[in-house]
Amino acid sequence: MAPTHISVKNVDNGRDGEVFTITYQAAMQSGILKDLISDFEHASFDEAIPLMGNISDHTLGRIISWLTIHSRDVARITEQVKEFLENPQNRQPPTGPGMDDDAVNKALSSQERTLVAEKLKTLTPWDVQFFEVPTDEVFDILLAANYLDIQRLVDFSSQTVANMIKGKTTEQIRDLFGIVNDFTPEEEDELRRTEGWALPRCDWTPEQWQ
Amino acid sequence: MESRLSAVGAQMAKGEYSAALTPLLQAISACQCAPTTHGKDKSCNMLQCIEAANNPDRPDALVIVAKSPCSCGFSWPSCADPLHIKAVDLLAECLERAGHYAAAFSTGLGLIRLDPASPAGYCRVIKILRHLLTNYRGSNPNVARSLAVVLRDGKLSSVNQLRELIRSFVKAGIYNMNKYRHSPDDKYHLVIRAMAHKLDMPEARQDPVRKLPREILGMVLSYLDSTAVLRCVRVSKQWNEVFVSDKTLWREFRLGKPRSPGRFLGNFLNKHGHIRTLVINDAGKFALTSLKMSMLCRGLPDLERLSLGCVVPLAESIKLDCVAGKHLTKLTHLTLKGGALVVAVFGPLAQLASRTLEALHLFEFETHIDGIFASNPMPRLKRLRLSHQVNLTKSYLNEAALRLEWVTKATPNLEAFFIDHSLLSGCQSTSSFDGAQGWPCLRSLVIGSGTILIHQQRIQLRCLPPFAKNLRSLEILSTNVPLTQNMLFTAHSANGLIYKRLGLSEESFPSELLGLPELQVFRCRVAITPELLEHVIGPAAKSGTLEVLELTASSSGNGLAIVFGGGFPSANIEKPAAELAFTYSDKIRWLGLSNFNWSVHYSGFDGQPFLDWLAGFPNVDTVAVYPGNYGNTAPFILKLISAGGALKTVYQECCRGTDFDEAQKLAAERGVTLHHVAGYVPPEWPTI
Repeated sequence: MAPTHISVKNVDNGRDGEVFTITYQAAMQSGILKDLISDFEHASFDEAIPLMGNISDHTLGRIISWLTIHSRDVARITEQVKEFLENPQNRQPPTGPGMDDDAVNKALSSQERTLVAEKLKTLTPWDVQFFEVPTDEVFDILLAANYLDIQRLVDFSSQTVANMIKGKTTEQIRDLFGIVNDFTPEEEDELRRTEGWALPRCDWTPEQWQ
Repeated sequence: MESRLSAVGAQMAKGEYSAALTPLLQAISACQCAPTTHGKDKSCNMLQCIEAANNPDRPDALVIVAKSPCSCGFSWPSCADPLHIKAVDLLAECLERAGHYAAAFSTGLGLIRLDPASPAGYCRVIKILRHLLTNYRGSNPNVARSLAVVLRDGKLSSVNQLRELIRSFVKAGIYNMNKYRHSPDDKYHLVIRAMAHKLDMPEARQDPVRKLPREILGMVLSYLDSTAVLRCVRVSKQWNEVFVSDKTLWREFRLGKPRSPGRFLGNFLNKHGHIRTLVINDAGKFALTSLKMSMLCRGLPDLERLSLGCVVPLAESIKLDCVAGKHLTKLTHLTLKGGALVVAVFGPLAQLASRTLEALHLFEFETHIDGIFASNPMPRLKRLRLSHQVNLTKSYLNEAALRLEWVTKATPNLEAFFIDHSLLSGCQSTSSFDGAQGWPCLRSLVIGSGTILIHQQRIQLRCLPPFAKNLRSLEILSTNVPLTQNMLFTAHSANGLIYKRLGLSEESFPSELLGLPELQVFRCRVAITPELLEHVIGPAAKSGTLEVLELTASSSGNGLAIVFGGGFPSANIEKPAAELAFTYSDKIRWLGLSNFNWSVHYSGFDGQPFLDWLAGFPNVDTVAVYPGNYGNTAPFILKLISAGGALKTVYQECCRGTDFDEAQKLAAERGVTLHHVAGYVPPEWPTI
């Protein structure tokens, strides 16, 4: 019988980390927890499941809170999409000659799948707030989510990092991540000539314009 | 040791800080590393550490200091036992709380010397310094005294240097922690990072390219757009290497308003030859020439989608130096926007890619293009959009009109067609559409707004090929009466009606009306008599395939002066519930009606006829009503919202201002979404 709650703790480096408890449903979002739980089927779930993977307690706590908030998302979004598709206006008209009912249903269910996948990838306002932390903490969450195999959290944190980069000029990106420009002026010139024309005007100082 | 520390913790919780000092010292000396003590005078320790922290050339100077003995000859203990570190940290905390800030500061420095890789010491030192800095103007004599001691022993001249010192400790702490730290989990490591973040120091920023493994980095990069990728390439050598090696990033190139690449286009194409999607929203500055266009076609062998937009005239006419079948062999999607661009580029590109094209969108062109279709058959084309943007002041009607006969012949497998803002003319000869199959695969047809049929001859001929019987979606969003008439009658009956008007006999022209039994979507902005309508949509409504139905009740105000009037009998539908009874179906989910605010209802319009009609559809959840702009229509909208049933969404444009607010309030109560939209726009036809 599946347990209602799961406890996890970090045991990397031979120490015992803080114990966190989440619902079974929330834990199932993580591939690695899913595997571990099915491996431990015979054991009692009173004891915390040990996790490796060099995750700090702080990061693990943040991830547990994320899992808890998003535990019902798949069911909720699927329901929303189903409702949305009940309106024929929102359906992609299935095209192609000689399409029978089966083919139409197939096209509908594939549209439903893509819509659900799309919605699951969209950051909610809660997530945006969740990621308003120092950059390296976002990286920590990304790495830990990858280790724990939580695909959605990996997507979300990747998007967060990408959103930090988007819309910034090269100089602003260097500033954001504390990177030193190690190109020689000649190499920079070469890059500017090959691809610079495709960039917006704000990327260049007036003397670099020719 | 652990039990002693917990006893101390209990003492500290009670606030007995001074009393906790002795057991703490005992606990520390119980450590396996057998630490000795420095003695009372700590000035040498302070000076040495502060100088090391302020050393700009060696960020790890504190590590070196920790390993070397004190200037007075005392050799400092070194221990990485977390309990030992915790004990010393507690000692510093007790001293701090008891008001001995200088001693606590010195103990914190001792903690750094004990284990320079642990962030605990740095955090303690920084905390004490911050406390001193924020409170030194206050009345606490301990703070002032300790501050004086720190400044004297550290040989610092002003309080401002302490601020610099905080940054130095944060910097050194993060550096040493990253370089030498052995235990990853430590609350202090978060604290020191948060401090760096708060002080906005470069140490708080981490390079994702260094920190993240490649496969994870790849996921991050997949969310970037072309402009961001181009900028990232120039950040540093390592970034350049990572971005250039990820080929998937370079498949799609979406550029806003690029400048002219000049003679470097060749370099660019050599480097990025595997682009599959190229979008240039505004190619005005790009300055398209024959040479550039040829280079693009030759240099991008994998190009599948090409979208170009340009509003300014091109400098020269485009002649491509390319061979059909050799260059641009994979192009399937082509979008061109802008009069001059379509004229200049469409012909040459069609010659190269007409065999592979699957979707073609042409926007805002001015001259006609049917000749290009005539000479370039497109057997695989499935979606076609023509948006003409006729400039009536500039062009003669006959010149600007499109003849679709060539387009039809060139695109035998078309599945979806959308035409708007265009002038159509009947075809030259009666047989134009007869011999050909027309569009046998066509499933979706949209006649967009602004499309007008002009008459070249007195006898009107078909402007569109006959529809396949299994057309699924027919949307006539144009309000042009002759065009609608032309589409819904076959050529014969259209002629027949005209002849009838001219007083000729009807028998020789049997009325042959269009019936579309598989129709799912039907929209029409022109009023049609119920008899004709029944022919067109009756079978679909009866069999239950029809799901979306939008009609127009009256044609008043639709007349366009340039058009020779149509052959429709006047078609005002006054009581849809009775006149359109054949439309009743429990499969219809979307119901719409426009122009139904008849002149008799100028005052006190309540739309009751529409509500009566609506009552015949049990499963309608979306209603689109555009009654026209006369009188007060707010009561009607309120009535509609409270009508209940399965209604979930209402589209309307007549209810504005406070009326709209009121309606919205009611809608929220009833669980109905109320939209204010000027009109329906087909959603599956995006622009560039």
